[in-house]
Amino acid sequence: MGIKGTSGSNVARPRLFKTVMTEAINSINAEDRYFNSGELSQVDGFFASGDRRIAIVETITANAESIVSRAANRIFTGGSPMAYSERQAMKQQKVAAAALVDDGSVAIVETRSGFLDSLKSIFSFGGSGGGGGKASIDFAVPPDFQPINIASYGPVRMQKSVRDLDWFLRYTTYAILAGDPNILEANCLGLREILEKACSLSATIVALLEMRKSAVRLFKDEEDGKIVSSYLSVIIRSLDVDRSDAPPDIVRPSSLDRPGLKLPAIYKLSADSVVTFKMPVVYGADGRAKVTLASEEKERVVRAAYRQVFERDLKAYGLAIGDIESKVKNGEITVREFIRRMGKSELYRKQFYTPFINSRVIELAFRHFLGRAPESREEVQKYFSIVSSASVRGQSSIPSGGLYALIDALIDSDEYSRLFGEDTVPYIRSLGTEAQPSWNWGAAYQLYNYAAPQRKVPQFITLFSDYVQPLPNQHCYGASNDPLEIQFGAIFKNDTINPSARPAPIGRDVKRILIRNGSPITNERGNLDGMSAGATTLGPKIFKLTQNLGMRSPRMLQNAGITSVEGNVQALITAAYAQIFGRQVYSGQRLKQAEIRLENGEIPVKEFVRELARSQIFRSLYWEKVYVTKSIEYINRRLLGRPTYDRRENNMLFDVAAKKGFYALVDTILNSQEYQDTFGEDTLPYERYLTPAGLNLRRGRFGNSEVLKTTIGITPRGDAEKLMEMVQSLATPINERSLPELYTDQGVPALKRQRKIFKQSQSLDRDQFEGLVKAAYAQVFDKDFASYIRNEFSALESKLRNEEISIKEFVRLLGQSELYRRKFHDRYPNTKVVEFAFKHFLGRAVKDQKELAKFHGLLGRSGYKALVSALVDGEEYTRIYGEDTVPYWQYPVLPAANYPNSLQLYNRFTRQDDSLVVPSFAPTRSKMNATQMPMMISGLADLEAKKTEMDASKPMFIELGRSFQGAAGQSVEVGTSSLRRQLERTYRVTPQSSRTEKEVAINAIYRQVMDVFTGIPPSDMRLSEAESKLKNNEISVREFVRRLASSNQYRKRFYEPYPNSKVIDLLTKHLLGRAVLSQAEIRTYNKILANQGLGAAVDAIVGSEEYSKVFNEDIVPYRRYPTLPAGNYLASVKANDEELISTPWSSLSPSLVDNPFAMR
Amino acid sequence: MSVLTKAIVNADAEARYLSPGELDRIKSFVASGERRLRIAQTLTEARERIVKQAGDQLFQKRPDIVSPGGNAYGEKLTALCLRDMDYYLRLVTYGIVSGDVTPIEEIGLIGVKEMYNSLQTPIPAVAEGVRGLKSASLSMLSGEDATEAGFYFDYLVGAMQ
Repeated sequence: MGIKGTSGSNVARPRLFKTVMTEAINSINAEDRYFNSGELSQVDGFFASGDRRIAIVETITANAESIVSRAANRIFTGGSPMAYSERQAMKQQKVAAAALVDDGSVAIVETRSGFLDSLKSIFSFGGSGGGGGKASIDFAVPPDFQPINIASYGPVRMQKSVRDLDWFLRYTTYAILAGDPNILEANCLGLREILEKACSLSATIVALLEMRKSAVRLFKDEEDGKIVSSYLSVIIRSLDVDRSDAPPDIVRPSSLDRPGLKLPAIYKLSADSVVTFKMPVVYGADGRAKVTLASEEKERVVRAAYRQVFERDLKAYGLAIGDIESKVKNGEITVREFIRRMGKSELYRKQFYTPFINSRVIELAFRHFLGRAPESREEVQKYFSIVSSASVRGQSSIPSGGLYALIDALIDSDEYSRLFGEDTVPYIRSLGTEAQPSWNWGAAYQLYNYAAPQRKVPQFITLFSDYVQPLPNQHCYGASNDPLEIQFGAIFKNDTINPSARPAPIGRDVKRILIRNGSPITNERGNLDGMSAGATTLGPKIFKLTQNLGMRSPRMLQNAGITSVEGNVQALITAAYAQIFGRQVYSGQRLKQAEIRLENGEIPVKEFVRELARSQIFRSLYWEKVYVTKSIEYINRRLLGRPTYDRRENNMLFDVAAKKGFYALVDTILNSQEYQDTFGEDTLPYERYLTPAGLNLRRGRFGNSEVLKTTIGITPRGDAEKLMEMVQSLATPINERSLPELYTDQGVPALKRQRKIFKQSQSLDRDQFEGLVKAAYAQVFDKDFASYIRNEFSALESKLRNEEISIKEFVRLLGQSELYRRKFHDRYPNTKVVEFAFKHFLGRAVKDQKELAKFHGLLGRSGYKALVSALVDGEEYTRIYGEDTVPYWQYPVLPAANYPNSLQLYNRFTRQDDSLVVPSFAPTRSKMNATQMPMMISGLADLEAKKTEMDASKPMFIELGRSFQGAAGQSVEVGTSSLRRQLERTYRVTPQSSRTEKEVAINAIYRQVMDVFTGIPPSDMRLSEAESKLKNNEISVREFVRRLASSNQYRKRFYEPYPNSKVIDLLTKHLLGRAVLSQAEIRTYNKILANQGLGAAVDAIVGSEEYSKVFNEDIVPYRRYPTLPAGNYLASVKANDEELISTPWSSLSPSLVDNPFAMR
Repeated sequence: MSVLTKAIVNADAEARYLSPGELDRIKSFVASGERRLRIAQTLTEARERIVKQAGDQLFQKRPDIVSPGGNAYGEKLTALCLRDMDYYLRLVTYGIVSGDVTPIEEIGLIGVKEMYNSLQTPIPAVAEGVRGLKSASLSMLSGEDATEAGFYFDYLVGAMQ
């Protein structure tokens, strides 16, 4: 027994009728209270009269035909009208049931008494039916009534008319049963106009009068007759011209920011009625205002106001705002004023202003004071600016932020005055009260919900701003409602739970972006020839059956020169199943007959497709299990080979599907002009278009980098391995790998991690023990494996073997031995001794000066044995090595600053190097003030002077791009091109260069030679073979440059498109890094180029003396202009910076080049 | 939708008069009307007692919600909690009177989970409260009436799970 999500909207299952019960519940729920005794008795009355009503309905139902036939006979002449009754036709088939009732044998209903009083109040209009059962005389027969001749009226209209008469009677029975004429009122609205046009209104009225007369006659009891009569009178009244007072449509005036909308009265009538509360103020004779309501009534109004503004009945919590409440009850203030004061109260501020951001405050205030949701962006903006401004407005003198102003603006608005005026409590104007705009319905219904104040996030501002965003890749029926591909098969996962409440901002004329499957040249949009374009290598395979081929044998086909598979009927049939059903069907499901007919040439391909599409299996696949929009999407793709274009198309097909059903839908698509144009009679539909999302899905193959770029962020589709790795690394808790390890991973040689730890244990065999002891010696004696050392300690070793001492003890004894003292103490200064001790016993360098000072002191005071003991017994030793582990080189850890010290200490040859590795981090300051010393003063002054001086060592033109002191002492910026300010970086590849350096250099070569402006050169330019050779030092940079410049890519890029002189220009630019120097040079190379081609020219340039001199074998060519003789400089720059010439501010533009100041 | 409305909608969809079967159902609905009104009246009159009993029962079973940090801790929140229970009792009386669960669903259940989730009220506790209401209410009703009323409480509890 679950609840279906309806997103809070009663539109999902609108209530069609009101009954006594629903009305009663609706009205008391508006006041949040239980049934009171009055209402209970009303409902009780309804129940009490229930039996009676049912009896009436039963009687009418039983005699329906006779009543209708009497009415029909009254208005039709010249035949038997009942022959046109559908019901009659049905009944005549059932022989047994065909007990035709004639007037004489009508069952008369027993007399009953005690009719429900409350019903009388419903029929309060003009005492109709008051004149006794038999003849109601309140409606006169219209004077213009003329009987209708059946023959001239026509059988079709006749049928309709009789059906309508039956309809009137049927609805009357419903209404009688429901105890509420609302059903009739709602359904007869607007009928009058229709009847007037379609046939004769007066005839209908006459028929209804007749009906009423004969219906009433069925009942003996006057009361029963009255009931029936009163209900039928409701219909007659709504049709009668003179008495028509049908409620007008509810029109909402439009304003700049709100569209005007019309709510047909029929909706209003059938919707739940809204309970409104009013407290009119009247002015007495003495001019004093007072409220004439009973105090109980006043109380209800006040409570309603609380419920509206605070969303609950505050009085129940003892929080009422006493003084204004009594004022409104006394008529001192109007309800409007009361509402305003409530809005301005501290309580409202606390509940609906302080906890929310301004946008949400507006939304809630709209609900509370206008009873609706914001409806346009402009509206939100308008009130947002009110609530956000800090001005003080309103009557209160308290600085208000913007809440007071907001409430004033809302309550003073025209809308408020028009709807609620002075004495009505605002109410929520939901469905049925007013026409609702559809573009905010989701958010609006969430706002009307009971739980609205619990939501902190504003909705409308985002919603409305969505409408002005560019269209996302989405289906025209909603942001999350794309039936295919975006959420293939997953939309509306649980039927109706959480459908997207944000409509897609797609209008009638917006088209979906579709991508042509195949060559874009044959794209059909705006290219009618493309429609029937044949197969291309890029596009899908097209199966076509040429005329009557099916009739011929394969041999005949061959003779006719048709050998392609496309001609083969069997292949086409297989393809047809794949296209239409998306898969091959089981052999039992195949449409054998259609296949045979196709093979025999009896039907064209189009008809075959039609057969497939009309088959049961297609229907069950794409129609029965999905809702209509999705079905349309599927069928369109299957039969037309493309997704739906837009809303208009969808609507059209939806219309067909809804009105005529599945088969009509299939036929509509197959008979469409588009199908004919694209596939004709003999081509099998193929997939012509895809959505972008669909295309992406299909491209998702391993290693397809294009897809990686287009899909979102970190989830590279297809690159499963990478993804797994990423997921795993994310899943690994950070503390599993220690933090220092993470840090020190960067740039640390791998050797550091490949360490073996030697541990003492009982299970060690001989070799392992040997290893353990050796490790201890190596550690303590700094990798000195001389045999005399071991001989010295053989006693200790045997103790260790016998486990009389632990490794820790062993290490300590080694350290305190005479030999250690000689080797690492006597010959060195104390600082160095401490350093050694740290290295040997703790496996690291001294961390900082403080540590050094501490152990330095210890060594000085207590000698080196104490130092060793202090280290071995220290906390750090115990923590890291414990009792049984040989100290090892501690992996350098935090602080990072100690890392270089430790590494240096570890790597060097201890005895050949007397320098200290002593930490020293803070720069020491001289105690003298250098600036006060005479020599320093003059030196500093010199430096200052030099700063402003021009550098004579450089050529003048280098200053072109610099700012310098002009003649007037002002700083002058001559050129602003950043390109010329900096010297080119040069790259060099030597056999010693690391791989990374080589790669950087290779990129630089590409940049220079292929003239790629920035970044990494595209892969199609790369010469992978030459690259690897360069990396293996098999060729030099010069050779690489030569190969690159003679490559096809270079040829294509720079040789083929240009005249020779330009090519030379480019070659010198790329290979020599300069512009052409002279005409002579051009002539020389021109000759080579013309006679021998590009390769020879490149060889000549790369082999030239200039190249060897400047770049030699291992330097990557670079732009040389800043270091060239000045005459060529501008030309060089021009060659590189042609674009600069056109920019007026550039020093290279003609105006500035002529400027003598710039040239200097 | 009451039995009545349902019958009308169904008949209208098929464009026919009400069938004898439907009329029978309506008859029995009408016949039981008085009894159902009686039940509703009983519950309405005793609502304070019922809510109080149910509240006590709930707080006994779920002491966590009235202890500090709980969702009904403090006088105000406890009052709110009892208010909600009263609300559900009221909905049940609506349901009983109309002989159908539609009013309960439309007024009180659509969106209830979202609401309580956003209030961070444990829904099982609310359901427990409704169970308390049920036992308290049924103790005031006689056999057949109790079965009738129990159905609506069960519906509420079921929908909250």
